This record gives sequence, structure tokens and C-alpha cells, in this order.
Amino acid sequence: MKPYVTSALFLHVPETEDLTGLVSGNPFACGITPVPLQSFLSAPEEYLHLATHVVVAAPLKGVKSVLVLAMQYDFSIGCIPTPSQKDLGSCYGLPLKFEDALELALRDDPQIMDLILCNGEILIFQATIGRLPLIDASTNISVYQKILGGMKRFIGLKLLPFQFVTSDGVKIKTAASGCMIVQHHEHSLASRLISHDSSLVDGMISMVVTAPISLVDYFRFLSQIFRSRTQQKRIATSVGYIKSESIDIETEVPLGVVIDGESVTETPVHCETVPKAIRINIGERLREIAADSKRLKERVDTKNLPAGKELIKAARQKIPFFSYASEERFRDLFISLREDSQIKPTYLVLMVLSTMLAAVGLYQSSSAVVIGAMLLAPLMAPIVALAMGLLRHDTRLSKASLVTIAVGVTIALSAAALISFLFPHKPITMEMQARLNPSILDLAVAIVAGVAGAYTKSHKEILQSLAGVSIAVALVPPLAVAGIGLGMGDLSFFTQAFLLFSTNLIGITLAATFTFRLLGYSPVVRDKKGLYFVLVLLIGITVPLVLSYNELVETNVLEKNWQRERFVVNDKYLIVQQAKVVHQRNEKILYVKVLVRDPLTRSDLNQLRKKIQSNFTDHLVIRVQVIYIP
Amino acid sequence: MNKSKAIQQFLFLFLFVLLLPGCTEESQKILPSGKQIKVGVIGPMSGPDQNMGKEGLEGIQTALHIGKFLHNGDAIELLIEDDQNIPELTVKAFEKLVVVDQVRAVIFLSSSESVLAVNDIADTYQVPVLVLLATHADISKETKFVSQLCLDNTFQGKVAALYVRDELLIDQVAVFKNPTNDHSNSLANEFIRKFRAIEGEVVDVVLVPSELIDYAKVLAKLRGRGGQFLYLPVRASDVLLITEELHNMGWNPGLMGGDSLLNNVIDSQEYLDGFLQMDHYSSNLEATSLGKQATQTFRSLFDTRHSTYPASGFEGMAILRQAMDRCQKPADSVCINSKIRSTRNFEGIMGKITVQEDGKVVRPLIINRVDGKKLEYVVKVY
Repeated sequence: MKPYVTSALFLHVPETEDLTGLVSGNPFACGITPVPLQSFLSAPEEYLHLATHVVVAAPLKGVKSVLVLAMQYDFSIGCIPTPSQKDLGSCYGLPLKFEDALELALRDDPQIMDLILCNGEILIFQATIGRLPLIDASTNISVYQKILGGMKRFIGLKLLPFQFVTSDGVKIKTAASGCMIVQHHEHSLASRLISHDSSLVDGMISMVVTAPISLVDYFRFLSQIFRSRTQQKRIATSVGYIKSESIDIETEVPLGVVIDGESVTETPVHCETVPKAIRINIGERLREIAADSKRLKERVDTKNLPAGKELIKAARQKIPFFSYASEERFRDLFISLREDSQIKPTYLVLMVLSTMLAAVGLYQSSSAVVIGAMLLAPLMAPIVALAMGLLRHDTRLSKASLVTIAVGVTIALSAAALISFLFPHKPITMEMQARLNPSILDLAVAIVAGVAGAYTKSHKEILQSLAGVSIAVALVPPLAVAGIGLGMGDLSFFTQAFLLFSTNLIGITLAATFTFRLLGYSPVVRDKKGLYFVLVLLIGITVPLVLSYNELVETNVLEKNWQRERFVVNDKYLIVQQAKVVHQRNEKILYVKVLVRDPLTRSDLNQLRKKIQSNFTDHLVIRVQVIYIP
Repeated sequence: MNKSKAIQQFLFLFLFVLLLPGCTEESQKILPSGKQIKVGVIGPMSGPDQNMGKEGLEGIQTALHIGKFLHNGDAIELLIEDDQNIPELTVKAFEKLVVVDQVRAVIFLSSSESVLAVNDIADTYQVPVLVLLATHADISKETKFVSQLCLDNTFQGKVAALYVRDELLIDQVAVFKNPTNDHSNSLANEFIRKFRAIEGEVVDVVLVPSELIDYAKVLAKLRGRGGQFLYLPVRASDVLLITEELHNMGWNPGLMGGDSLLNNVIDSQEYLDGFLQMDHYSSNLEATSLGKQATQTFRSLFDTRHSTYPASGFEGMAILRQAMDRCQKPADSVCINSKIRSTRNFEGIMGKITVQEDGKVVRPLIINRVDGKKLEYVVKVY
């Protein structure tokens, strides 16, 4: 059987006065003396000789005043929260149903607990300095209000200079959007941030500091909290955590300190724990947690907060939408990219070999050989490095990458031209023709490949996928075709193939630049010149590609329609089985495959040519393949 | 220069270049001269074939709605005569238009017999005649002033035979023909001639219509003789009787009819699916830009179903107007005639049209298949 106090004072305010009858008639044989809260606060000694247990049903401010007196006069406390005091209920594990709350309030087994004071003000749930949108919302408001209020607080979110000093004298200088001291508070978002070692009786203060480097980063961090139903075992990115007996918080300009939803003081603020300050009746679950808790050492975990050079750049700046990064954070990646941007003997050898392989494969019209050349080609790496260089306005990286690409292109063109020059026969194969009509679709391929390339490069574990990206975008074959064009002295051939290569180069660079930006590799201080430069190039190249795409669509429609075209020439019936239009050296060539039963004479073919030509406004070179059917 | 200013200037230039082509359209506006050039239209506006005349006329009016004036500002005035598809009335109408009304050209929407009746007179009066629907091979033969815009029966019969033999790979066919009708007779004869020439076998030639004909018996006989395909250049009413009987017998041979045969009966029977028909148009073949404009305008003006007749009327008027525009004196009949006969690659509703010096047309012939009460394009033959 649970022990109950034999007598207690019931402190009420006008709003809770009507509970007096119910409390007085309690079924636990406890004698109740009802006292107006205000009377008790003004002269507690007058009433405390009647009972050493106080039951309070009052607003939070009144409860806090009673807590102060409890420290002084050492009486125990039971709380009856009103239906609107969810915060209070959550904090002490109190039931919201009156009968249950009364039962708990009249028990005679109070739990000894710590109290936190900030500049002398009692903190029951949480104290907030600065902004922590959505996290610092009260649990008393609806989800809709939380989201709306949280969104408003995103506008103009800044990182501000903060200094924290712990009781052990550890000094932390950082920039943060805000910080929050969290007392044990179930069901609040803030409580999910602090580690599982938080307690009401450990004599420590738990404080969370948020320093998101971008809004994207902050959203990611929020999604982590929302997804996690339990408390975080690890400190999230962009979050710092301090646990100490006392914390001094200073800011450059005074900031308001909101304690339990009320702005009561401002920085600088000194927060401290008063160990074992009060005796209060709390819920069973909280009591179990309190029983398990032990005194812990001070803990300072601020490695995710800006420090050093970053601090100077980040402080007082509005938080950007996309993340930024310092080289220190991604040292391995930047070392790898700098290596990729350098001209090395292996790069030169692979460039020559892949081009030669591509050129031979193109002459053979062998897709397998051409794919082999794509796999060998080392061009993707300096292009990705160039993208990073442009994003970070790293002139050294950009220049080195550009030089490497230029050398690679020159080698490829020369090698292919030489092979073309040496080959006695110079057929124009289908593999070559496939690279002479770049369109906006090729740009789309390059963009997707650029995204994939940058993503792959920034994740070591999927680096092997870069080979697939190289095949998809095929950098060397168009270069080889352009080189062959040079070797044949055919400028149009060269131009068309080089346009495809340029499309790939620009598409990959731009897409990779944006991908790196989305992934959070922007520099702390941003510069958009490089990005604008690539954008201008992209617009420049899009015009011929769009025109070319329109031509491609027309050609496809024509090729499809022509499968239902028939010709009667000199009483012979010709069935078009297949038609293909190829643009080559400023000429439009129509390849037509026809089925026919009767042998065709020169006159028949001549008439067929005239009939075909009459369907086109521009001049066509017509190539007919005749298949005789029995 | 700051960045935003540079971007603004770039956008302005870009918009300017985009809008540039639109300015040329405006500059082609024609100012009316106040003069009118008369053009006659003869066709069956009443009687059993009135659809040909009325719907064809709607096509002509659609063309005039899109562009009433010639390039010099002269307007075209239509004078319409109903011949009921009776040759005697056709001759009278033609003489009235030419002698009394002094038209500069005549468009014909009548059938072959009626048009053939005026062949000689056209040369006498030296008035260009543009024949839109009649397909007899002798139209435009031995005359310098009659031009035919539809492919003649010889070509159609030949293509039908070649398609059945070489494309469908069918060896044995039966042919139905109406010996009293020139159109039916000439199509059937050309089909039979060509099919035999390419080593196909015509298992039987059935003469229709006969009041005593027992289609059940005839078709059963053809089936027994191994007929795989029926060529039916006969009237639509006969075709409907035949297809109904085929359905009753559960026989499903290939079927093909003459040009525009089912235009007015396609909705009336559900057994027509798979029926092949020649035409110059199709429901599902993409129209040219002029074709799209014509369809849109036609729909805004008339409630009639857009079919072969209005399409032919539209193309005929458009070609005539183009010929008049190419003459220094648009009212000069001799010049109009010579320009009609030198029409090259005119962008018609569904393909290019060339009128040769002999008055015959070169244009694609479309083989359609009836599919769900629509004419779906199968192949296009040049």
C-alpha cells in the first residue's frame, strides 16, 4: 500500500479554487488546509506549522515561487497540473487526469531533485538563447502552430558569436544560431537532442548548441530528430553539447533569454544547478530514471561547431541555403581532386591508348572496342576537379584541371588524326555517324553523368561506379571522331564531333558544380564567377543543340512515317522497309531499303529517285538498297 | 556595367530575336482592290449525289474564308450551278457560266460522266476546268483546259492490284463490278488487267447490281473457288449488303473498295472493320500546316463531318487561287490554265500535289482501313 501524507496545504489561485472541495474530500485520509497561493507566498511561516507537504494547483509562475520557498523551508511538494499545463506534466511525469494527479500529489514519498537557476530565475523545462527554429517550440501549441512559427524563425537565420564557460573553466568560442538548456522533458524535440545520460538528479546542466552551416543542413538535422523516436545516441552534425555544473553564456550583443516560454533576462547569463534542491512527487517512470542516475563528469562536445577560420567567416552571416565546407573538413576528397587535376605520365599514356583504341574501334564500327576505349579514358577525373575548382573559386585547381583537359584533348585529336592519316581507307562507319549529330539529348546525358560523377567522387564507397559514368557520357569517342575529321581534312566532320565533346564537357562541368554545391562543398566565402562562366558557355552551346534536336525529331518522324511509304515505278510496286536520314558533310543522305518482286532497271531507279526527291524541299543524296522478294 | 543590367540587355536581345519572325507575317497584309474575278462551281447540289456537291462547296468556301483576296487585292466571286450529276445539265450549266457569266475558271464537283461531257467545250471556250472528284482516266485526255486533281482509275486500279498481290501476298481474288457505271467498270478492269499481269488469279467477276442477285449463293461459290480477297469497286449500298452477308456466313476475306466509297456510310454498319479503301486523305495521317488550318477553319464554319469532298474542294480552290496569283493578269483564263498545269509540289492537306502538263495529277494515294468507324491510314503510295 502506498503511503500518503496525513496533512497537506492546498495552494490555489482563483482559477483553481473550485478544486478545493475535491482535494479536501480526497479518499486518502489526508487532512487538507486550503490556502490562497498569494497568502502563502506573503507569509509561509503562518501555514507551514499546519503541514510539511504542500499541494499546488497554480500557473507556472506560482509553482516556481513555491519551489523557491521549498528550497528555503524544506517542505515537500505535490503538483496538480491544469489540463493546459502539458509542459509541467511532461517535465515531472504528472498525470493530467485530476484524480490521478491528486493521488500522486498526496503521496508521502517525494523525490529529491536538482533545480537550475539562470541569473537567479528557476528553469523547469528549457531556456533558449538565440534561435533554434522548430526545436524550441512549446509542447503546449499545435503541430500546425509549431511548423508555422518555426518557418517564420527560419527567415534571416544567422550564426552569432557565442562564448561558453563551464564550471571546470573550459572556454568555447563559436558561432551558433542559438543554444538551449534542457531540463528533463519527455515528448519535446529538444529532449531528443541531448544524450541519454541527462537526469534530474545528476547535479548537471545539459545544453545544446546549434550551428547549422546551411538551411539544407538544418533541415537534414531536423529530419534526423523527427525520424528518431528515442533520444540521439550521437551528437548530430552542426550540433554541440555541453554538460556541466554551471555554464556562463556570453554574446557580443545582449540576447534575450527565454526561460520556460517567458523572456525573463538577457545575456550574459550564468546558469547553475542547485543539487538536491527540492523534494517533489513525480511520476513512476521519472522516478526509475532518477534512481538509476549517477553523478557524471563534465562533458564538452563541440567539434561540430565552427571554430578557427570558419568562425570568422561564419559569424554574423546569414545562413545560406546550401552548405559550405572548409578544405579541412574534406581533406581526402580535396587531395584526390588536386591529384586528378595534375598531368601525370599515366594520364598521358591512357589518353593516347584510349584514343587509339577508340579510333580503331570507330573504323571497325565495333561498339565493344569503343566501349573499351571509354573505360580507359581518364578525362572524367580532371573535369570533375574543374567543377570543384569553379565552385570554390579555386584558381589553382581550375587552372590545373583546364590545362590537363586541354593537353588530353590535344593528345586525343592528334592521335586520332594520325591514325586517320595512316589508314589507307577511310570509311565513315555508323559508329562515327552516331557522333556527328549531337542534340539537346546529349546535353541531358552529360548533365546526368555530371551529377553521377560528382556524387560518385564524393562518396568513396561507390567510386567504382565512375567507370559506368564514363561509359554513359563517352568522352573519348567524340574526340576520336573529331580527330579523324582533322586527319581527313574534313572541317564539318571535326566540328560536329567536337560539338558533341564540348556538350559533354560543359554539361558534366556544370552538373558536377551544382551537385558539389548541393552536397555542401561550397566554400565558406562564395564566388559565382566560375559558375556564371560555365552557364554562359552552356547557353551558347544549347542553341545549336536545340536546333539539332528539332532536326533529330523531324528525322525520326520521317524515318517512322517512311516505313509506310510505297512507290509505283513503271508498274512495279516498291515497299519501303526502312529509311534513315544521315547528315554528313553538309549533305543530307537518305538511306532507303526497299522490297520488290520484279527486277529494277536504271529507269525504274531513276524514277524512284525523282519520286522520293519530290517529297523534300532540299536536295537529298538518295541511297537505295533493293531486296528482292520471291 | 553591373550584372543585372547586362542580364537585362541579354534578355531583351533574346526576346527581340524571338519576336523577329512574327513581324514578317504582319507585312503580308493584302489591301482589297475592289475588283472581283468570277469563278464557277458546278456540282450535284441536289439529287442522289448532292453530298458531293454540297460538301465539296463547303471546302471551297473554307479556302475562300482563309484568303478571299488574291495578292493584287482582287476578290474571288463564286457562281454556283447545280447539275444533279446529269451530263446534259452539266453542259448547260457550263455554257451559262462561261458565256453568260463570263467566269474565268470552273471547278467541277461532278462525277466522271458529267465532266467528260464538257471536255471538248472547255477547249472551245478556252476556260480552265479543275476537276476535283471525277476519276475517269479519259478526263483531261485530248484536252488542254481540263485538269484532274484526283488520281485516275487506271492508277487506282493498278495500285490496288499491286498492293493485294505484293503487299498482302494474295494470289486469288474475286472482283465485283457494275458494268453500267464508268467509274466501277474502269477500276475493276484495270485491277483485273494488272492482277493477271503480275501472275495473280481472278477466280470470278461478279456483275452488280442485279435485283435478283443472291449474295449468299454468290459468296458461297466464291469461297468454294478459293477466293481470298474481294475487290469491290461498286456502290456503297452493294458493299453493305455484301459485308452483311459475309458476316452471316462467318467468312472473313480481305475486302477493298473504290475511292471515297464509304465516306457517307461508314457509321451505318459495324461489319466494315478491316475494309480497305483508297483515298487522298486519312483520319490519322498528320496533316500539313495548311491542312491543319483548313480543318480548323472548316470546323468553325460548318457542322458537316470533314471528309474527302470538302478536303478536295479546299485543295482545288487553293490551287486555283495560287495559279491566279502567279499570273500577271489574274483574270487571264489562258494564263490560269497554264499555271494550274505547272503547279509543282503544292503543299496540300496531306502531302504534295503536282499537276503535270497533260492535266494529270501526281500526289500520294492513301490506302485506309476502316477501324472503329474511322479511316485509318495503312500505306501511302506514290
